[in-house]
Amino acid sequence: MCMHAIYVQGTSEERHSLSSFVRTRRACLLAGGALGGAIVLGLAACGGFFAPSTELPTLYVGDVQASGTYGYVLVAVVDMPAGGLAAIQFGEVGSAAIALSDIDPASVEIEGVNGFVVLAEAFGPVGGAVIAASGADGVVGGDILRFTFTVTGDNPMFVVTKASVRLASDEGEFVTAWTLRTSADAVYIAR
Amino acid sequence: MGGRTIGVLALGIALFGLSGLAAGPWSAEWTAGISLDPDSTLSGGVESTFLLGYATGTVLWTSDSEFRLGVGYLWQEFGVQGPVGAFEVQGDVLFGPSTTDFLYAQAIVRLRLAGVDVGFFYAVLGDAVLGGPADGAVVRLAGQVGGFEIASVTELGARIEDEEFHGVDIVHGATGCHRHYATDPVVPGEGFTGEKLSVGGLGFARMGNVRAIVYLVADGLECLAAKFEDVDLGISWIETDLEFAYDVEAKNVAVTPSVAVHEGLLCVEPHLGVYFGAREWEIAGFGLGGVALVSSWGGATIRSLTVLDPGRFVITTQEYGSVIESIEDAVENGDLYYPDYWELLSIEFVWGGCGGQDRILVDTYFNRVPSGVSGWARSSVETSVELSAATDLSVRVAVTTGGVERVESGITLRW
Repeated sequence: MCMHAIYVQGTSEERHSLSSFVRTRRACLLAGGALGGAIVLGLAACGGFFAPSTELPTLYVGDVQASGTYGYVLVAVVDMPAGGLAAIQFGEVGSAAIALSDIDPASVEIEGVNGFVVLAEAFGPVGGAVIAASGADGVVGGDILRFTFTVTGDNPMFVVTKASVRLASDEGEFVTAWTLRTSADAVYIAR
Repeated sequence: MGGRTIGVLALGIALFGLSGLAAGPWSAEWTAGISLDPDSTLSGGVESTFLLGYATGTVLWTSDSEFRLGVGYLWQEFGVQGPVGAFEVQGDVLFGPSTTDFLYAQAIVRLRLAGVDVGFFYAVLGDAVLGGPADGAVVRLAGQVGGFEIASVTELGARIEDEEFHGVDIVHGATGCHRHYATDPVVPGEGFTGEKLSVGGLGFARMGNVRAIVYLVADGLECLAAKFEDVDLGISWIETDLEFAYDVEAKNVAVTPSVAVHEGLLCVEPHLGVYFGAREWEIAGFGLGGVALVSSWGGATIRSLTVLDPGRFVITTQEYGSVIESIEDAVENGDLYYPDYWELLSIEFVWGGCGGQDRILVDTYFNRVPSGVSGWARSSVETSVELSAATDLSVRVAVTTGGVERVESGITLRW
């Protein structure tokens, strides 16, 4: 508002000078902003903000996604070694690796994703066991199984016991060093 | 709970105060919603989205913030889009403010050079995201040579969204909220990972437009596909497409037929499934997996979706378009669907209200297992009203055989 008043009252030379000043000042602001942005991005890059890091092979069990009485859980792997994950075993009959709560065990259906095929499954009141393998090459990263089921309560839970899970690679060896992550420690997922 | 509610209300008041920014190149949009379950507790919670835009010439800079009660500051996205000289640029950066994590960034630059569309895509996935860290780029060249449409996509550790690939979703595990982007970085710090070459405009007798696709990855040939669009059956009101795809890795053939019948106001879309025989390459026959009937006149649209082969086809949820889709495609695309509903009757009215366009949508689902009246399982009523060019109101109520499932209401304000 103040600049506007000076602009109207000034001489032609003053107006030109003021206009140049405003343009110069705007250019300085833009240049300063760009420089500031570059410094922030540069510091972020130097600080390893964008740098990839190395992690253990990971089996990820997603949170229960429920819509009404329909629910599902996605199981995915990340950074699987030796040609990728070729087979997975969740416990065995009588020693279930998957515990269910507020989920109807009889309604559980399992679909293989990314070439995975379900070879055997058994779900009962105490939980479930599954064996699945890839019909093609191993999966290095991505979804492998999708469990769908009927939700029967307010707090559906799908919990996997890591000690009862075995992973085999495409090169025919067991993957021994791996981590199990859930939505509690993997807040964001890319898919 | 009381403190949080006060916080959200304070945020709302602060956002209203930003209406002063409406002058000049600034624009803003605030959406707030609340979900209640039948016993009046906050189940879906309170959510708020604030979109702020600033235009410099033809380039639009945006800031998109999403908050959710109980979760906090869910997403913060910054974006830029518009032409800069001869270039068309787009940039997006996504942060997870509640965990102070960098999640994703993509940069897209497009240019038309001597009749060739040149596109450069680059994306980075942060290590806070399961599936990351990863980064990669894609170079896309497309143009016409003679009557042929040729597109080359060179993948350098990333893939981009197209008819065969659905891009990447960054999902917040606890809430299921997601953000969708075109560039999916899949390999950290690697060179060539794939090449997709497609040639279209190949016309044969009665075959309409034929498109051939070859997809090579670092290990060799990955997939061969041929798409026949607008196959001429000699009947003007029938549109037919056919797609053959051979997956080298899985050594299987997928045949996807598609038919649409347009007669007057009625459109019939049968969803066909291919049944393979015991021997490799043997096709036992085609089956009808589902039928969609759509009729529109004036502002009214009536749709009937019927799943005839519930073992292979499903109806997707409203968020994913309420369409009939094969289970295989739904899983591959990450689409949510109803496994037990075989029929959807949908009625939608759209009309010009006092301020703009108003809408009411009634969806009714029927279950495979008999329940309620004639297998009725679920109904939802959704209405949105434009009070003015700057204000929308919406209400959604879902009822199942167990009673009222959810009540949602929302408001959108624009400056």
